[in-house]
Parts: sequence; structure tokens; C-alpha cells
Amino acid sequence: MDVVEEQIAQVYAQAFLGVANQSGDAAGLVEQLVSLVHDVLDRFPELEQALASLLVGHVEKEKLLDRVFSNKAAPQVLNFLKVLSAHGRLEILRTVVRSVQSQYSKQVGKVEVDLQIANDIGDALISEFVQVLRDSIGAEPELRIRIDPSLIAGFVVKVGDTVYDGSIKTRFEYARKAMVARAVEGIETHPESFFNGESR
Amino acid sequence: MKFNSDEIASVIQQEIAQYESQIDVREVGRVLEVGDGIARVYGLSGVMANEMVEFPDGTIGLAFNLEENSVGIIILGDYVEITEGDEVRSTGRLLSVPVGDELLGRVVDPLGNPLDGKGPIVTSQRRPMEVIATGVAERQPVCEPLQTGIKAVDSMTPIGRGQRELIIGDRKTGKTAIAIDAIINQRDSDVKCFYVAVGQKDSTVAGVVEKLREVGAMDYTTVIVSGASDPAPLQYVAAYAGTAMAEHYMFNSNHALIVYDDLSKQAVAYRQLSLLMRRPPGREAFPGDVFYCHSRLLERSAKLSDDLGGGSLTALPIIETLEGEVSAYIPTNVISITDGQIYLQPDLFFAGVKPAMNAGISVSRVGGAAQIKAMKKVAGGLRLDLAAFRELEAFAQLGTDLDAATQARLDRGYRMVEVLKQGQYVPMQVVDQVLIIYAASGGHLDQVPIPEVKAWEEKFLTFMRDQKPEVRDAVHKKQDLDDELAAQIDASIAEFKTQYEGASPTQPVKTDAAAEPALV
Repeated sequence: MDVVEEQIAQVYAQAFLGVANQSGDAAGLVEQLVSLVHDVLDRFPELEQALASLLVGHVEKEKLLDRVFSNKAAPQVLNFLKVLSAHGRLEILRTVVRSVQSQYSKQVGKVEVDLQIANDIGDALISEFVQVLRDSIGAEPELRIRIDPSLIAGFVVKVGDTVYDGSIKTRFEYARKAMVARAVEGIETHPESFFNGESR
Repeated sequence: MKFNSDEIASVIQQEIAQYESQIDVREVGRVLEVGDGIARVYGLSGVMANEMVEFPDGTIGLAFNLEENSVGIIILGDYVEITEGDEVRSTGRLLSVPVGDELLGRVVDPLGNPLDGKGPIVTSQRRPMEVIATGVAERQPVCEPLQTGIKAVDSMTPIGRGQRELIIGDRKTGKTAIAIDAIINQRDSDVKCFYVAVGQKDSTVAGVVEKLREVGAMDYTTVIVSGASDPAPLQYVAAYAGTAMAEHYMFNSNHALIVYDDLSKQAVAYRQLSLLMRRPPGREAFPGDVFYCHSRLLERSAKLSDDLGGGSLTALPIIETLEGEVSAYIPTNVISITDGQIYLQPDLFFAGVKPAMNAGISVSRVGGAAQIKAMKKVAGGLRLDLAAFRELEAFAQLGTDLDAATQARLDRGYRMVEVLKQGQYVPMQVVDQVLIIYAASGGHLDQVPIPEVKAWEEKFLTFMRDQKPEVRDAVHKKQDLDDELAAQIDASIAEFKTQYEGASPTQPVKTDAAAEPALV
């Protein structure tokens, strides 16, 4: 992750959200921008390369954007892409969109939550998770689920920078460390009790 | 050799019995880049400045720079195991070090881990590494002397308990020697000593430790080592760690002495960290807060008020100058922070004047308050007399004919310089210092040829110890010199002179200034 890029993206995202809020359909515009990444750029990497390339000038990029999106994207989204192009920032489009998403979530009281579980636990348990999270963080959790069998059992929830770790993997790790520490301490403080008298 | 598996099984059994299923809550960040002892971390949005953080392999770090989108961490330990993407967790605690008597006689790293292979340091007491120094109300003026055992220092630039006295000079001028002698001289006092070696060769530190051990000084000394091969973060925190260990004694109504050897290298380590963290460089590329780095460290040395137990922490910071340049950035900073400085001059050192202290520009801003009354009386004007002598001596070198009075002053000066010379690792008791300085300043050595001054001094002190113990005891007891005692000393000196002259007939006194040892 490039911290400077992240910082620049935040500024553009803030500006875009300002425009989106004024238009009255912020949700729609944000969705359109996200769909641009998922449905267009992911499927047509050549288009992304062309937009990011320094070999393609702003005028050509503007024409390209008009040809591809003029009848399909909202004018605000199109204009936003053109502004990014004019400033030579289309190469950080994905970072900008990610920033738009997270700022918009914050604006509407949604919180991104990463949930790691050891195996599939079924929808009922997931919705119970969502309910517990909603109550504890006081906002609507936007759950991203990842299955990681190395956890053995239990779960790891990450809300912002805080991690709630209830996985067996971590408990085992702590138990291992504690055992090693105690054994080392025992050996250091009473070495005689750890050796059989006759074998010394 | 075989482990007893039952014992280990019982430890594990205990662990399992105490095992509780809890949710571990932690604030985390992710390593973006790592290298040269620092890491840049994304996340950790709630971390405090100077908070301790932990890397997955257990290495400890310190939140050093809190920026808008990242946190700059200094890594206190091995950073080669840390990789990009590693999780960093905050601990909610400030960095602390173990303290207490268990540390005495040990050689430790800045985190308090033993380096001497003598087993773990079993103490539950810890003190935070960085604390704000005691305030005005909690202090009292320095009033109690801390004897270094060095005649030149104790007589001309006395150090009091709670004082910060800088030892400054070029390389190889005997800076460490003064500090080590001061530590050795605390053998019969109740002062605990801490020697912080920053950025030095490990062989040099090993030599110092060996010497301290040889003379029995390690019994009350802790050596904190962050050698030249240690990462800059450890060199930077070593001074604070040592101070925390020493403060433990100050706050428990005891006395401690700490030597920082040396702060120039600590400043260089701090400059390295700051530049890597992209803090703006200032003069000599040091960061803007390098003054604060030293002032907050040295302010922690204090003499506490009686209400707080009257404990003290005396600091002897050492600064190495380049080609005698005392007006460089770090030397001027530390000179202005400390309560005086002992300036060691290469010319004097090479002329055989050891300790090579330049009496003219060495000062102690605490002054007479840090001397016993007897010393104050005999050495009151010594520093100025010596400075005047040096001026006169420079004038005499022009080859002008001198009148008898001037020649007499010169002769007295040469002998005084000779008396103030002292070997390494032989600190002298304050009573002996008073007696010999009294004899020299009273003109009793004026007739002794200069090469014989050393022998005269030794014999005189042996005489006083063996034949006049009552006079020594009286000085020791009173700590003052009244007329009666002065008369007794005069009588003793007269008696000694008769014995001395009887044993070795006096040779004619040389008056040729050119034949005298080179003096500055």
C-alpha cells in the first residue's frame, strides 16, 4: 500500500462524495462508480491499462471515456473520470473508488467488518453475528467473510483497526508461549528439579 | 543430562488448568515497509505516542512518529525477521525496564535483558523508561558532595549529589577514566552506579567491565550496553533505560550515579532515526528536538526534597569533541543543560598532566556547596590561582628575567600542577586530598624538587596515616579546618619534613623555568 497514493485518493473521494450528495442520489452514483471497477475494469484490463497509461494523452482519454460511457454513466461519474484524467490520476482509480466506498459507508453509518471463520457456518449463524455486531458497534456492519481453515475453530472479527480474536489458533499460540515461558522460568529458577539426580 | 518429563508435564498441566477461553482484543496495524531499525505501519489509529507495540515474532517497537496515514515505529531488537504485511499490535503500555537490586553487578541491554550470561534477572519491579522529570517543588538545591576521588575534580570542580557535570574532550583524553574513577570511589559510599555505554566498541566496554570487576566496583554497579553494532533505536533508548534504573534508587531515598558514555553517539543514533523517519533535519542534520532529547534526559537527575526522602541522582554525561570544537551543536547544547563541565585538553594529556583538566574553562556551577568545609577552605582559590599561574607561565616563557616574587609564584604553580596529577584507578580519600592540597598551597613543597613531588606526597600521606592518625581522624570527623586543626597539620608537616629531609637530603631547587615540564 502506498500511503501517499492513499492520501491523494482520499481527497478525490471526498470531492466526488460532495458532488454525489448534491445530486441527491449519492447511493446510485457510488454504486455506479463501484460497478465501473467490478464490471468494466475487471473484465477489460486493456481499458484500464489504456486509462492508466502515460502514453495516452488526456485528450485521447477524454474521447475514449466519452465513447465508452457517455450514454451509460451518470454525467457526474463521467465528469469525475475526466477530472481524474485531466490531473493524470486515472492510474489510482481503484484506490480512489475504494476510498469513496469507505467514506460513503462512514457517511451512512455503515462499518466495514472483516470476519474470518474456520469453516462455513451457515446463514443463520452469520445473521446472528451481524446482529451482535450491530449492537456492539452501534452501526450497520458491512460484512466481508473469509474462510480460513488455519484458524481451526472460532472466529476473528476486525472492525477498523481493532481485532476481536476468538480463534482456537490464537489461544493455542498463547498457551504454547505461556508453557514455554513457564518451563524456561522453571528451568532457570530451579534447574535441579528438571534433571534426574542420577543422570547428572 | 536428561529432562525430568514429570516436571514439565506438571507445568503444562497447570497451564491447561488455568487456560480460559477469552476473546483476545487487540488494536492492530500492518507493516508497509521495514528497514534500518524502523517500520512504517498502516493502521494502529488509536496508538499513543511512545506506546510499546509488538511484532508477530515478539520483537518490541516504539510508536515514534504518528502521521496522518501511517505510524513510524522504531524497532527495539532484531528487525530482519519482520516482513511487509506483518501484523503489529499495540499493547497500551509504555516501554519499561526492570529495576532493583537484582540489576547490580549485571551487564544488561537497554531493555534489561542480561548480556553477561549470569542467568535471568528475577525482579517484578519495573519503571517506565520515559518519565517527566521531577518538578521544582520536589527538589532541593544540591548540598551533599559526591566524591570522585580525583584531586583536580574534587578540589576545583566539585560535584554534588544530584548535579549534572559534563565531561568533555577530544578522543583519548581520559574522559571515561574520570567517570570510571568516580564509580570506583563510591566503594565505601552508599551510591549505586550505572554505566551506560552507547555506540562503543564491545571490546572497550568489556575492558571497563573487567576493570570494575577487578577492583570490586561491579558489586554496586550496573552496566547498560548498546554497542556500535546494535541498531540505532537501542542506542537511542539506552540512556533513558539507564536513567529509569537509576531513578529507582533516587525515589527510594537512596543515591545513584549515572555515567552516559557518550551522549554524542546517542545524538548520532537519534539523528539517524529522525532522518529515516523523514523528520526535517536542522543544524548538522540533527533534528530540531535533539536539545529536548538531552534536556529531558538530564533533567531527571536531581536532589529530591527531604519530604520525598532526599534521594539523589547524579549524572556524568560524556561528550566527545572533534579537534577541541566545543562550539559544535551537541557540545554547546549539553554544556548549557549541565551544571558545569570538566574540559579535558589533549595538549595537557600529552604533556603528562593526567587528568588533563583545563582549570580555566572547567567549572562547577554548584561550587562550594558540593564540597566539605575543609576542602572549601584549602581549595577555595585554587582554580583561579592555577589559571593565573598559567598566564604567568606563558609570560615567563618569553625569557624575561623574573623578580623573586614572580619566580616564587611560578615555583608554587609548578608544584601544585604536579600535586594535582593522579594515576588512573587510584581514587583518593577526601581527607588525604585536603592534607596534600593544604601542604602544597601552604608552600610546604616549595623546596621540594619537582620530580620528587610525587614521592613526597606519597610519603607524606603514609606518614599521616601511620604516625598521625589522630589528625586524619579529626579532619574526617569535623569535615572542617579550624585554626587548632590547621596548627596540628602544620606541626605534622614540620615533623614529616624533618623525617623526609633526614632520609633524603634536599637537593638544590631548580629555578630554571625552561627545565620544568611543559605546562599550559
